[in-house]
Amino acid sequence: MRNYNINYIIYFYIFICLTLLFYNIAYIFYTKIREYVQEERSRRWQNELEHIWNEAECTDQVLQKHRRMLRRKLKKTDQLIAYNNVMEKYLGNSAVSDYLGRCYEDFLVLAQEYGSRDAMERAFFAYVISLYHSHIGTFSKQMVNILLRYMDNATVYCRENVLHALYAIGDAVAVEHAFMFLDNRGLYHSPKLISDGLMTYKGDKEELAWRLWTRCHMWNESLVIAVIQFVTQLDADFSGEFFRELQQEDTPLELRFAYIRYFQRHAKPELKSYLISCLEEYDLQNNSLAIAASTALGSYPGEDTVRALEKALKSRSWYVRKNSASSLMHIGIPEKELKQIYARSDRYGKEILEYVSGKQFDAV
Amino acid sequence: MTRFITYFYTGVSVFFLIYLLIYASYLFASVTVGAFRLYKLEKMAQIKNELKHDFYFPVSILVPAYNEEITIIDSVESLLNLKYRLYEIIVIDDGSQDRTTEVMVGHFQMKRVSRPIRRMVACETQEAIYECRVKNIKITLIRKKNGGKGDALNMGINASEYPYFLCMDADSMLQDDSIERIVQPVMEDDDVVAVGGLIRIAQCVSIQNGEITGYHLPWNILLSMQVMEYDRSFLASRILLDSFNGNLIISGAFGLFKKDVVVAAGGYDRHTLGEDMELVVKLHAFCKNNNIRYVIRYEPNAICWSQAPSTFRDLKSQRRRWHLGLFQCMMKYRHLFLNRHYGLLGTLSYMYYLMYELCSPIIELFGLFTVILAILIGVLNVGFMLKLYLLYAVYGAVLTMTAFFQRIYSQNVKISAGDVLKACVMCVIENVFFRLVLDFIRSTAFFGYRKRKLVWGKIKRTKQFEDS
Repeated sequence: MRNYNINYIIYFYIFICLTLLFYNIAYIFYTKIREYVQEERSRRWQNELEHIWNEAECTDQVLQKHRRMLRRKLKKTDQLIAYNNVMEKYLGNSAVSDYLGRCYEDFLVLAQEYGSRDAMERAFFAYVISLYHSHIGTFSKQMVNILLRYMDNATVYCRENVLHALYAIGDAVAVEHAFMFLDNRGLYHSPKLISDGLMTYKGDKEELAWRLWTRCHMWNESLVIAVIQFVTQLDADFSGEFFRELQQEDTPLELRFAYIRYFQRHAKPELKSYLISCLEEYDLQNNSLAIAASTALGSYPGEDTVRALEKALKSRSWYVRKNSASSLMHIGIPEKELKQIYARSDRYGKEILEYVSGKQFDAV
Repeated sequence: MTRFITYFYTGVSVFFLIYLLIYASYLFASVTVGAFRLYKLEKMAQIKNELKHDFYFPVSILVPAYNEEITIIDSVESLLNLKYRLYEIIVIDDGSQDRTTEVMVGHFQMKRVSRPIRRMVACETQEAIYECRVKNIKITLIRKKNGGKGDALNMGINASEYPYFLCMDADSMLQDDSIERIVQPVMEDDDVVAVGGLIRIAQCVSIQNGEITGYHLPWNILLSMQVMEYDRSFLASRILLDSFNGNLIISGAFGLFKKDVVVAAGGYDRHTLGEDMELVVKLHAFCKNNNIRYVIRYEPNAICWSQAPSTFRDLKSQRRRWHLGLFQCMMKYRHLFLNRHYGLLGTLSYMYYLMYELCSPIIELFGLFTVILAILIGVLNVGFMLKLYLLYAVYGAVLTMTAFFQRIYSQNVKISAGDVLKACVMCVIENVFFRLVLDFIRSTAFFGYRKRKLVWGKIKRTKQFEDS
């Protein structure tokens, strides 16, 4: 009886072996065939699009027929991949931009169609829209709303591609709504991805920055950091607003770092005393602010800064010492003064000063 | 006596049936999940479901080196060709007895500096520090007293400037997009504290400037069998364990870690042979115990090409070290086992490593012993045994083939018809023969354990990458 049962188990596993072998072989053939079919599709789209872009051959009737084909064929993701492979090669060409403008409505229809697909396919359509929109002069509110709906039940890739599409469209309200959505759903999206993505925004970046700044106080911390990082990369002056926030006692530490980094890049004389006080009044339990301030002070030359940094060379925090030494070098104080600071420093201060300056003061 | 033999063999056969059934099911599940995941990743890349970015975050690459004068220059040169915006390279010469430091200093014209290093995690003292910049990438060489690989990596952590560090072996080579691939999981999820990459065998490929220019299965039978073994292991079990955050190991040859979490957990253990596994299990335990949200991920598209031992002696030394490292780690963290607090990690993952990695050589050799005994006392059903063994061998071989070819096709690597044939033969030999050899090596790993429990053993290095 037991042998009988074991035989069944063996037969079952033999079946699994055969299935796997079949799967292997089938997968190899499938991959080969699929590659060939995709190449063939791309070739066909190439011919079709060249025909359409050629003004002499493209009558209204031809274009209408082409648009019907777009709506019909691009519903299939494989066709969209092949179409996009060709389009990517020609984007930037004026004939292509004109063509995209004329077919915009068809992409709206397709956007709605892809809205009902899984997150991977929605992500791809959003990617396609982000590419094409950089070359279309106009946009519709309808497209923005459809894209915003893509973010529901989406993967991080889908959200990223939708955000890029919204940046390409250049609608500040849409971007704001997208961030509100992320905040409402408690979704994490890397601040680095957001702030760098915002730099690709096609509209007025400063206007967008102000808009996001006025709204972002209600959002979660990582989104606020992203907005501050975005503003830091712009030339816009947010010093008044940021300084007010920096002085608030209940401002979270991570946000303070972000503000200090802004003031490192956009030095404002009125900030100097605040940064010096951060450096001088640090407590051992939480020296993070002093670490950030010691770096930022490198952008604030002056006697009082040098004095504070020199004092910080004796700090008990390793990072404060290191950053202060780097800031002293960044300020570019004369060598004679540097030697004097070295002479007055303790062993640790001397060590770090020698290292960052690349000089042997004792030998000198 | 007869009754005892009957009970004994009934017990043995039931045990082995369950043992093999679980293993066969595990292999099937892992290869299927692995193949599906790779297929999905391939499709995702095709339809732009990626976080492609110009710059992610800066990374410190730590390269511990001990007697690596032959390979170190190639390794560092290959690191200089990576497609990544901001990173630093830190080579830690762990008291080499050859000319590792001299070769590095001479080749890159490094300058000795008096750099203070903050001791965040314990390590031996440094003897000299050298620095230079090549292609605007900072290279630091730290010559320190010998303290083992974990100790060298701790020194690297202390010297690193960036918030994430990547550890790798001095005889390994990263594909040019490896760092970009391995950092992507961190961009996806802020809770990711470590990411493991895929290790493949370097002797199979020709690489120029970080790009693969050719792939072939080596004629050396040991190497070929290790190719099969690596592909099965990295395709299958790691992807499956990854699906429930249950990976207990990130290979020391290629892994990315969040520095502040590693430092908080105490860095690498300096007194174990399996410092890579120990760190990962430590991170699991540390984060769970401190209620820190964390994820440890495996990224199969981040590839590191590592030299495998090509002689039996070297292989024996390597596997002995791995097995003892596994043993030390499993013993140190035995409180995880069946502990509800650790969830699937303490049950499925720990159980797998315990039964199918640590104890498997003993169990399999015990099985062999019972078969021989059964032949001697004449109770063996030879027909059934052969059928079962044949099935097991074919089953294992087919799964290995699936893993191997899945890898080949998912990476668009072209191999010759001869290599396809060779791969099929190797899959069978690997399952029938190589497994037993490894079982023997692993089961004898404990001989002289007290004396040699911290001895790494030497592996002969050869110059692998001609033009990197």
